[in-house]
Amino acid sequence: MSAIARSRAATTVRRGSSLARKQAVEGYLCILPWLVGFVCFTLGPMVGALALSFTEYDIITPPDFTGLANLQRVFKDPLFYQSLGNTAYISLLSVPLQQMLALSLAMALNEKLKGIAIYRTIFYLPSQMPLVAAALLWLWIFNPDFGLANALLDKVGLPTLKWLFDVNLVKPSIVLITLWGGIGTPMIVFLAGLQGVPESLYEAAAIDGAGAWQRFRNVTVPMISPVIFFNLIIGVIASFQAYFTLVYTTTQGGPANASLIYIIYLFFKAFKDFEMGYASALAWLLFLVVLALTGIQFYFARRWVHYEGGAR
Amino acid sequence: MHSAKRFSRRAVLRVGTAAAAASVLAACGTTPAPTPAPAKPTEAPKPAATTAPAAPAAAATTAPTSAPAAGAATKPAAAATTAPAAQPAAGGAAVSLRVAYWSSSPEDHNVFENVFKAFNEKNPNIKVTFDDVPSDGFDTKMQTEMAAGTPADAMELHPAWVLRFIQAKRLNDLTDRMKDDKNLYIPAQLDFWSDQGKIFGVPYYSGPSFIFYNKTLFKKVGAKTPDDYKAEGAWTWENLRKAAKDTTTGSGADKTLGWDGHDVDNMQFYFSVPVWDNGAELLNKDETAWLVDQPGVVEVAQMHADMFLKDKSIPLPADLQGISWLFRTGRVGMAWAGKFRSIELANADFEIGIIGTPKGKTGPVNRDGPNASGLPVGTKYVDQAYQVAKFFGGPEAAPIYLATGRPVPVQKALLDSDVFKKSLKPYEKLEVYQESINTVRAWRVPGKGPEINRAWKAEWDKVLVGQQDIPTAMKNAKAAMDPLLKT
Repeated sequence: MSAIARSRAATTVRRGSSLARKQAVEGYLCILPWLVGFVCFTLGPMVGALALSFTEYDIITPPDFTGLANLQRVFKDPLFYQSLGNTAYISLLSVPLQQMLALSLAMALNEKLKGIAIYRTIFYLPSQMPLVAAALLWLWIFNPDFGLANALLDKVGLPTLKWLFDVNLVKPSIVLITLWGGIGTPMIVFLAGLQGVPESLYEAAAIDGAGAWQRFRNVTVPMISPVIFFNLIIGVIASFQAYFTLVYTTTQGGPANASLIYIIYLFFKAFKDFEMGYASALAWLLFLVVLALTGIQFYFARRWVHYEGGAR
Repeated sequence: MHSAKRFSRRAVLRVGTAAAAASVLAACGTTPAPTPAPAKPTEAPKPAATTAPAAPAAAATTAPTSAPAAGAATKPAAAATTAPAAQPAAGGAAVSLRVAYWSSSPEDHNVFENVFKAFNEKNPNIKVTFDDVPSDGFDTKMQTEMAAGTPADAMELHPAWVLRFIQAKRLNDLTDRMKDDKNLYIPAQLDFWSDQGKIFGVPYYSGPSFIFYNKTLFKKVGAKTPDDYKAEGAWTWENLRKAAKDTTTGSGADKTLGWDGHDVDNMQFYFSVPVWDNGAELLNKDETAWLVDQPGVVEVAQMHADMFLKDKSIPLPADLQGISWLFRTGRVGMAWAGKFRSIELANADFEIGIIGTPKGKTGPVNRDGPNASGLPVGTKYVDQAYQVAKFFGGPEAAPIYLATGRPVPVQKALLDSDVFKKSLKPYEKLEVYQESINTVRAWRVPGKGPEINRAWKAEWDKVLVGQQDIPTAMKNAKAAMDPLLKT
């Protein structure tokens, strides 16, 4: 037995010993506040929502058990499909664009230049702006009569657009807004990842004759792949859940339901129509969709995410 | 002995964690029901009688009811909702009431506070505490409180959702209690809070429809004003459209719009008025089918669509961004209004005119956005809560409440009172308000109201972006909204 192994054995507390039990109890006691919070405010409501999804419940009268009726209704509900489609459209467009823009900005901001911290702050600031304020700002920018966007189009001789008030343009307009406010946080995460890539790898690649694109593709991307993966997971989850404030403030799902995203529809069913059972069924379906998408991403991550030392 | 041995770090940690866990678990529990305030030992009991006519005597002799156990309120009271008699506090003790209303501004909050302060001064045995609940989500909060068994003793009601509370038997039936009082009120004001012949709310606020117009803009474009048309006996919907067209000018930031009638896409608001004026109906008599595809309604919808798209005299959604009432900007010729809008015009830099609703084939008929006080099932002090509700809409609160200039009175006697006349600004006219409130038709969107409104708006959206014409939109709206009439 090596000296290290002997030392480990001496310090390892035997399982089942009274000291191990005491330590375990203390450990659980330490996490108890979080555990209670999780059970009361996350797991409890989730289980409650699952139970409610099998009922008809309007808060004001007791829940009435209806079995799978809510689920059957969901699959016949045209607004369910429309809202899911709108969400998928926005997600498919905004998440890749956000990641690409955030990575590009992070690489630019990773340069060792004088005053770079100021630029980093400037690019990060929009993500710290309150969402309602940002939404109102963009409402003004996209105003068809006196908004900045149309003023710019007009200036260069292009026809003006109706932006958020056009059934065909409302979703791309929302994506534009999400890009403005949504790249700050992934950019910072990318920047942290980029700063962890050893300079020696770039030097070695350069000596081997690799150009800028090859260095990016064969050194940067593999080295920061866990960071890309993290941002992708968070981005997809956020795109299904986090655009509520933005859409509610700007369009409320209109015009003609063209921007009715899933989370807004869920909110309408729960807190405008008081169909808590149906809304709970929608919420659980959303959870399953996000879970499936996350699972798929984890499955494919094996092929392109590289962890240092092979750890996952 | 060293104290560290008795209070080890581990022991302190255990006790602390247990205490924290207990606190969190306790916080997860329900709030106890309010208890009566302790009696002032030297004060003689003063029953409710200090305000206007006392509650029906019968109520006082009925056996008192006890408060429901927490949680029991999740089941609607089996005994319909006939208001239980009040339980006088033991030994004549003062009772505490929590009343939930929403205020629209800090000034409005003070008005509520002052009304309840005045009530407390006149009724020292009833202590009213004002719970100012935000209007957004007010009904959700009330429902949640009811489900938790801790409803307010009195609460604000709104026509958009009052039926849900009535049909779930969550409001006390006040029919008997109001037997002698109901004649005080303008009849339509009671209709908003009634269902199947029973009354569930005590009115205190009314905001019937009328029109403000921008005299300065009319002068600038040299158009005939609504008052000119009225003087000729020609204040009709056709001439409103003409006046709107005349005052629609310019483009971009200088654009002026003739008629702020954009909220025809909300069934709860003003669309009903021109429909009724046109002699048409939105619903069949038993409220089981929409009639929006019928010629009388299609005609009105077509006129509005033409004003939006051909005349461009009604602001499109894009014109309204961030501005809650476009008329205030001075860029609009005429606009629907309730009296509460009058105070927003106090500092307007243009001359203001006021006129009633135009005449159609019948009418004028007007809509209203009133409020009343309801007494939730579960309150122990129905008599006392009723006194608060009645006080609010009555002559004693009028100097405080009417003086704000926001409401039109709900009691007949107050319509011609000095206090109401004094509340009018120079650009308001008593006769417009009197005609308006006396021609109000009480109507509430039945069935699944919010969902009906969304379906209605979605069809209007398609019209406004040129995706469909009005007859198609009305047909589609009917198809989407008919199933939503079933609750």
